[in-house]
Amino acid sequence: MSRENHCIPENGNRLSEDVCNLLQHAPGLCNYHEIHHHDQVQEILHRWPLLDLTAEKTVVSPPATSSPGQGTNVVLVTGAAGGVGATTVVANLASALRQQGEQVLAVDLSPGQDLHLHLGKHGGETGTDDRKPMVEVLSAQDDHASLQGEDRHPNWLAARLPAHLPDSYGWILIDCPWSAQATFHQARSIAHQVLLVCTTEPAAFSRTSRALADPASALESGADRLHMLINRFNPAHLLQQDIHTLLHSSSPVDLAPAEIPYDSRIADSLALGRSFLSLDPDCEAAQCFHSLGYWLASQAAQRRAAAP
Amino acid sequence: MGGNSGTQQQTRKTRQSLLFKLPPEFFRERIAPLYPQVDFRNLRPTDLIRILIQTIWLAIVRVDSPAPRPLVRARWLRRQLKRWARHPLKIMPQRWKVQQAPSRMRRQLEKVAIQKFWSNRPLALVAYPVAIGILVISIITPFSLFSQLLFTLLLWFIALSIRHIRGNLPAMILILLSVIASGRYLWWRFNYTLNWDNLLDLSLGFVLLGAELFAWLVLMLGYFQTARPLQRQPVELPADPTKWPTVDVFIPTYNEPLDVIKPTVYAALAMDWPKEKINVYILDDGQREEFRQFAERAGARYMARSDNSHAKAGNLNHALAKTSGEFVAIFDCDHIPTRSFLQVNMGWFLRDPKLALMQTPHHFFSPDPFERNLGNFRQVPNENELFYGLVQDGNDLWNATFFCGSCAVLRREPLEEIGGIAVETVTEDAHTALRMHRLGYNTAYIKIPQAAGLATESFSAHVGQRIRWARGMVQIFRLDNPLLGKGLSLAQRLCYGNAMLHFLAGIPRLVFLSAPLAFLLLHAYIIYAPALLILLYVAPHILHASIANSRIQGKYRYSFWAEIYETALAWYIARPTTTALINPHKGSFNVTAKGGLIQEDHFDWKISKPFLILVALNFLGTVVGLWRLVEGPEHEVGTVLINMGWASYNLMILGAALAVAAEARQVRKAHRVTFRIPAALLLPNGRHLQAKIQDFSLGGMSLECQESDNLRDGMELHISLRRGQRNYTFPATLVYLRGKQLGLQFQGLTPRQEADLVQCTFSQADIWLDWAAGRPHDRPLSSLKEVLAKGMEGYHRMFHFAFPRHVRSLVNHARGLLGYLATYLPRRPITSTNYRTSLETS
Repeated sequence: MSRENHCIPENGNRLSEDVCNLLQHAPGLCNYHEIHHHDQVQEILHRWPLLDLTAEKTVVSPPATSSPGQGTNVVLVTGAAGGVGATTVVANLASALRQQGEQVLAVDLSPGQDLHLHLGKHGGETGTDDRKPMVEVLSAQDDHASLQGEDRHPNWLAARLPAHLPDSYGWILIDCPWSAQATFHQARSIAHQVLLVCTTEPAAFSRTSRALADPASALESGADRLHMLINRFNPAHLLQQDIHTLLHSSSPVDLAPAEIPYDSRIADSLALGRSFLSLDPDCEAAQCFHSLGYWLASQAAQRRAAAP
Repeated sequence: MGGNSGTQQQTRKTRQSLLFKLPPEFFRERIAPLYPQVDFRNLRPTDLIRILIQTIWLAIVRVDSPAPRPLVRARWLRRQLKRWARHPLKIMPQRWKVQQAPSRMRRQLEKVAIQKFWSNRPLALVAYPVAIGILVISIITPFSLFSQLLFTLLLWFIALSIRHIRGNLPAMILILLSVIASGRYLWWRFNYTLNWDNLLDLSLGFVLLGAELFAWLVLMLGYFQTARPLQRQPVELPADPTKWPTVDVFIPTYNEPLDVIKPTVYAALAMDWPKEKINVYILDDGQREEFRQFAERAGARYMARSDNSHAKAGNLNHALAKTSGEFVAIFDCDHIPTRSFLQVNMGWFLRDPKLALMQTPHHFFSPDPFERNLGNFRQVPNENELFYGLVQDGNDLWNATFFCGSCAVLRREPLEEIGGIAVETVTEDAHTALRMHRLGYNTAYIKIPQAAGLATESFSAHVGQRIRWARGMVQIFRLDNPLLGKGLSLAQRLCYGNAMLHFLAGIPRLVFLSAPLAFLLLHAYIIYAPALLILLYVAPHILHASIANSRIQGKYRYSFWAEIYETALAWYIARPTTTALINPHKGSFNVTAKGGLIQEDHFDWKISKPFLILVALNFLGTVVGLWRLVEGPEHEVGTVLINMGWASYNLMILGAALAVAAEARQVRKAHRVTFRIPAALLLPNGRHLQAKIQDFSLGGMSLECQESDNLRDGMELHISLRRGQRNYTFPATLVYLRGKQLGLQFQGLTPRQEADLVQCTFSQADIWLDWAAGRPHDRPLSSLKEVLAKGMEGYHRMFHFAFPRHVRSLVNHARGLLGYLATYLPRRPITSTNYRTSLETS
């Protein structure tokens, strides 16, 4: 009696695993939380009035992408609110992909330029011993500063990246907050995948919901490109659980199949100057980063198969 | 480097000094085997005495004769026989084998099978009588001793040859062979084995023949019932939930504690069905305020009535009158449904408008008293699994599935048409289904366990429950006989008839248990025939019946275990069924007690009294048999031996029944269910650990956690479980920690959390799916061996409990002391052939 296999959502109907396992004996079972969740959502909104921000789903056709080399997958990791942990996600996702044998380039486009803290890299060239080969940080501070002033080079990122790119890079992870609008638009235009990081805290939830509702946000969910990634989820708190439920039941964008649980060791590893994935390879958060990496890889493979 | 080799040298030195500087291999191969009772790796002071005694013994007694090697030829022969017993076709000559390769054979057979003339009606009309004629001839033709032997061998060869071929046809042939063998036996018994000259012989002979006739009838009906289970699959519901019907869920309760009913109600509320189309009712005949408050809190409805007339049936009928859903789902208060229960079952109702009842298996996640006291929970299928795995599914083929009181959905209209649940008998469920069948409604059965409950807690409670079923079935037989009356098809009559006959098995079983005594004690020839001839007729009857049954039922019942179940109940069922046959209105409804505890190991002397008497009689019979062997006339030896063998078999089965009466302790309030699902532990220091649940109950869980360094006994933490997209957390205390294994106890769950916990565990759709996974198919011989071993164990345990409590520990001590002293006794050295061969191979 064990349950190992994972259910692949079919035609948008997410089935929980237990129902999925029964499907071979009883075809046509459907996911029942979809029928029930309305009451649950009402209950939550009644409990926490702040969370009542019904966002309409906006579907806009995605902008044409002009990405670098065909074999490279560009993933933009962004957060609509500050402090949701987008940089942490980039760093650990880069580690996970690297451990899966991929070549990864991490691009730090955030105003804070904190990625080097996570990856142990200062000034743009080297990392610590165990991570040196796997991640390189492209510092975009100068461009950033110039961009904030005037929007002179509308495609500077797309133009700059290939110069930094040896062919061997299979993955480019861009860390860029949504609030840095000009840079974000550029990054968005070259990204194959966008991960919108959100935590299950009220401020982040509210900011993200509003950003998603804004038609000018460039956070439209076209062609499966934008996924929300729940970060730092601590199910022990009722409020976090409720926001989690809200995100799952009424989020205007699809959710990434993996979500990162809260774990104090993520912060510990940062303070220790060590990679979280090597510090605690077995813990749930580390496993989640790995499954996120595998999922991104499978998405990339699907996309490549779909492209002529 | 230096330090490492230094320690190695040191260890070698100490070992050498210990072994008197002999090389360790020499010691291991030559010296150690001479002292099998001494563990040289872990020497204790007293071992010196053992070595001394053994050395002296070895010096005096010379034991170097290796065990005699079996003759090479004999071994080869045995292997061939074994091979042939498994696959008789394989030892045929090579030339033959190539021609008759299975795939080729199958193709040829298929070629014949697809010929058009098979569906030719006139041909069938001719073929059936011819086939039946041949069958009758092969049953009634009298044979000489030799031709009967030949015939027996032939049948046996056919059976063994096709036993392992898959498919339905071989099963049918095995059934046919069994029908022939058993038919021949019975025909012969009736015509040639009654001693009409002696009144005692004749009357006792008739009693036995009657019992055998009953067993034969049950066997034949059983074949009819289970030859071809329907294996109905669920039907999909319409995609639009607004088209789904409304359902009232009834949970009747009378005196069960709230803790038993809580999970059922939570799980019923959590069933995947639109909220506005489902109402859960607690039907409380105990009229308890506590229950009303619980219902209110949980979101269920509470219903009580002023009188308790007609017990459960009356309770259900009362609720039926006050509700209006299109369908009624009924759960006993301890049967926890999974979330998918309604979705799996409702599809058929929408497809078949005449369908009145959909029954699903009753699944038990706690061991029944047989399983607990015989120690074979989940290893050997229980009685229940045969019924729900095969019998009900077989009934379904004939549209004769009957209602089992719980885990079922009924359509309101037909239920009201027959006047609600039947109240005339104590098995209201079967009677209700029978009435629906009479009106031409259909019933159906889906063999996917979608609800699970507690088995009866003690043997006496089990007996009580079965007495009620037995009495109820016999009441139906008397008051509304399914063999008579209108509206039923012949097949339905036979299926119902068999269900009722099953409960009349008490008296025939008692006859079988005491039959050998007729000869051994009273010297009555109840089977008036030479011993050899009896063997030649009985053996194929028993053998083919068990081969065929093992083939059909092997997945759901192991051979010979049913003997234990039936024997243990025989005495108790015999009386109420007889009473009910004579006066069906006598007796009352007794509620089956569940969820109770058995504080300590004990032996239920009161309930095992009838077995003890039978044991004493059979034992006496065996002793008298021994005397007859020595003193009696020579021509009776065979008969005596047969009867002694029979009595010994009875003794073993009775021993197993005694083992059931020796109640094992049951202290755990909530039964653990083995189910492996991932979970996460949230520690107070903010860490989030991955863990895997091993088993769970509603009181606690045991888990396996790879990184248990941060865990401490007594720690308060949260455990987080996933259900679909949602996470649920529960506060818990760490109460057990050993290595990677840990045990949690839930602490202060809110009602909301209790409901969530049920949803994350018992309510999972697939939780009971793989219950019997990994259990092998029945192997009759090893099954027999195990049953006999259980019989021995029964006597062992009875003797253990036979001493008063304070003496018991003394007896245990004395036994322990004797065992300890026995370790000083000299033993045979390990110098036999197997040792030499093990050296060669290594």
